[in-house]
Amino acid sequence: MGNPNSGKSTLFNLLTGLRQKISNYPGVTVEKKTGTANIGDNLDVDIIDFPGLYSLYPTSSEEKLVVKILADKANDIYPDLIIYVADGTNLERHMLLASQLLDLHIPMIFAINMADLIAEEKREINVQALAEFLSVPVIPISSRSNLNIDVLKAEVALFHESETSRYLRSEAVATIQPKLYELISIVKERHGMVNDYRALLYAHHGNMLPHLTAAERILLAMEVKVADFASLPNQVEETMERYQKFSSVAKKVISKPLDYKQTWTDRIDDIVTHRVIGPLLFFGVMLLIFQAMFTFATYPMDWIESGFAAAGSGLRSFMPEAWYTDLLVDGVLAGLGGVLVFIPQIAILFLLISILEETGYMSRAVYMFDGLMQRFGLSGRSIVSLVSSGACAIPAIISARTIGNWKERLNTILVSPLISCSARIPVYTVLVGFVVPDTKVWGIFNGQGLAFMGLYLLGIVGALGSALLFKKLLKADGESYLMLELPQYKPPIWKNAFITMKDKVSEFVVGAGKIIISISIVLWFLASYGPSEAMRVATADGESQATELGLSGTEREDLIAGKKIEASYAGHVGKFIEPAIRPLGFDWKIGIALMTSFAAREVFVGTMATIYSIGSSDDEMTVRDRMATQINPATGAKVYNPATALSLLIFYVFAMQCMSTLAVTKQETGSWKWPAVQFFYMGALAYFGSLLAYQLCS
Amino acid sequence: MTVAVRTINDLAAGESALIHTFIDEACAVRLLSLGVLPQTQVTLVRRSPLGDALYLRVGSHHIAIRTSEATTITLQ
Repeated sequence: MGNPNSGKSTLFNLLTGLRQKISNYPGVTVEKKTGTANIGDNLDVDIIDFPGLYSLYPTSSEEKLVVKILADKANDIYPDLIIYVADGTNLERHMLLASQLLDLHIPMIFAINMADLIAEEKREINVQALAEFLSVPVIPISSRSNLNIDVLKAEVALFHESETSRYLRSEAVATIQPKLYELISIVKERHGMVNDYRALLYAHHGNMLPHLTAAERILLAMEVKVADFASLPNQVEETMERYQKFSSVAKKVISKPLDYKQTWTDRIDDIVTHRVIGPLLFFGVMLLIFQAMFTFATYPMDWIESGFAAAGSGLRSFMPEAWYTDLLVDGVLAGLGGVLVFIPQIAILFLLISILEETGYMSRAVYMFDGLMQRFGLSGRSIVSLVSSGACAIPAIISARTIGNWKERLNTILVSPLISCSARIPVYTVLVGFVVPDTKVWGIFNGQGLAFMGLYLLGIVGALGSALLFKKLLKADGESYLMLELPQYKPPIWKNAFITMKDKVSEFVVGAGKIIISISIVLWFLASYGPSEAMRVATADGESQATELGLSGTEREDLIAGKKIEASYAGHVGKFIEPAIRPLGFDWKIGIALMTSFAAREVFVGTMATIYSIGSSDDEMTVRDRMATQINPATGAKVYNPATALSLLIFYVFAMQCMSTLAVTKQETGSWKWPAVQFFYMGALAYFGSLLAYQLCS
Repeated sequence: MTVAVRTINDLAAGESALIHTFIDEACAVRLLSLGVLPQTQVTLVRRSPLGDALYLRVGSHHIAIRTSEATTITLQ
């Protein structure tokens, strides 16, 4: 445990290595990082990396979660021992939470992190003085340079054998005010606890503690009222008292630097947070990230695609021609390829975003954009969610949890899915070629790259516009704060960045992967089977037409396949919705893809692959090439003309076509109302946006 | 307001002062937990691009607060 930016997660990664697991805390979707650390002689311990917090008087829901767990001694993950990580360069502030945890009487080892930095500044650490005050073991460490990690492990190992008192402070740091004695003793007695500070936390937070029954909460509220207990002034007094108790100790423990000298951080921030250069630099960084995604991700994506195509035709060559071969190749394998192909982009984006987080740049971005975001009814922290939405709205919506104010958080959740996510990339990739030729603009920019940029901008404009609307519509609730730490710039720790990247990739593969593969299988079924009579007629019709036209081989099979899919279940649904989407320039095949990609946008490409590859002997043709050859049977014109492709692109920019996002929104907001709002407002934007685009362009 | 109280928001860029007290209790709890204490020296380093957030140096550390939050911190 520790404050944000204490180096806590770095230590966690160091102790557990890759032996860690990401899950969610029960009932909420705060990320729960647990891991196993070997601390010597076959002794393994389970470690939890709790979200960072500044005090037990929390403002964000992540911080609140920690308080809820610590208030409930019977909680499954109530810690046996806390490894408290404090930033030694700012020891005084980091002692606040530690003193509160000690008053809860939880065993603790106090690690002074960044000991290497302190030594570099020629400052000394008086471990003895701090250990005397805290009366728990104190170890100066560095999670960056691996300093004293073995000492820390040995101390943890010792916890098993020694008296718990070695890790406890017998006397509370903060005293209970005499006027609260009665309240505290009533609460202690009813809840059968001995700890004064825990009882005080019940008095402060009774309403938000999930382990209390409704009756207990009502009783608490009444007692708090009778005792005339004012929570906020009490919090201020308590915090001030704590600082008074340990300020002098903190100053004694770490010798102060003589004078404040301009640091690297100051020099960097003179430029990076400059009023004009700062924002320009930020957009430069964002542009670089997206360019990196598109240039570097192309190669592995091509390998994955061609690999799956080769595997498909390989399987076909030695497996019998039967329904289960079709299922395997056109259903399972196609779906799996559609999942794995996103890994490069998600990996690159999250690697870069986590590097920005690691270095401390992200909080500068929050500082610079808080004012702007406020105008749209969002928080400066929303910028992180909006940027993360560039990969996937799901982690972005979850990351909105650090926003303390409910209205700003809800607004961020509602508009984040409008930012173009990685699942839209394959759709854009397939379609953008129909609108913009693959040529250079001004000699350096790729025309299609600029079109991509345009689509992203459209998403951003849509998101901010909608945010403005929701700012007017949503009810305000509670206070909104910025109050943010701007940590010193640090070189990123690659291991942390890679672990974040790995987590995001596996979350996507496990979360979205199942949906994509199952939809791919369902689709294969819908596109392969239909009412038997209609299918028989379609086959016969196709055969006679092909003979009439004198077609043979592939052309003949394609024609029959075209007739058959029209008669299939998928064709039926597509045709049913065709009248509604005709004004947008879409035919029934696009209709099928629109319908199936409500499960996840990337299914669009899988659907197109399934629809167009059925009956074709040529498996290697890319989806795009196949689409380019599609002719409208009524007019003889190409189906994917620029107007249709543009209309479809705009539809995909705006439409809420992601079941997983809706599920996460439900989970985060606790009601189906908000995913429904999200679905309908985005759907309306998409329908009318596409309608406008198609009618203007055709 | 009858008495003109100087707050952090009245500082000029580069100017330093000692914190006196906090007007808003909810803000105070958060500020205290970030290490912003009465009697601490605070320097306004710069204002944000749109002028509604402040980049402060408190002791040897940096924090960002909104101007609306800055007006709740009075100076000596």
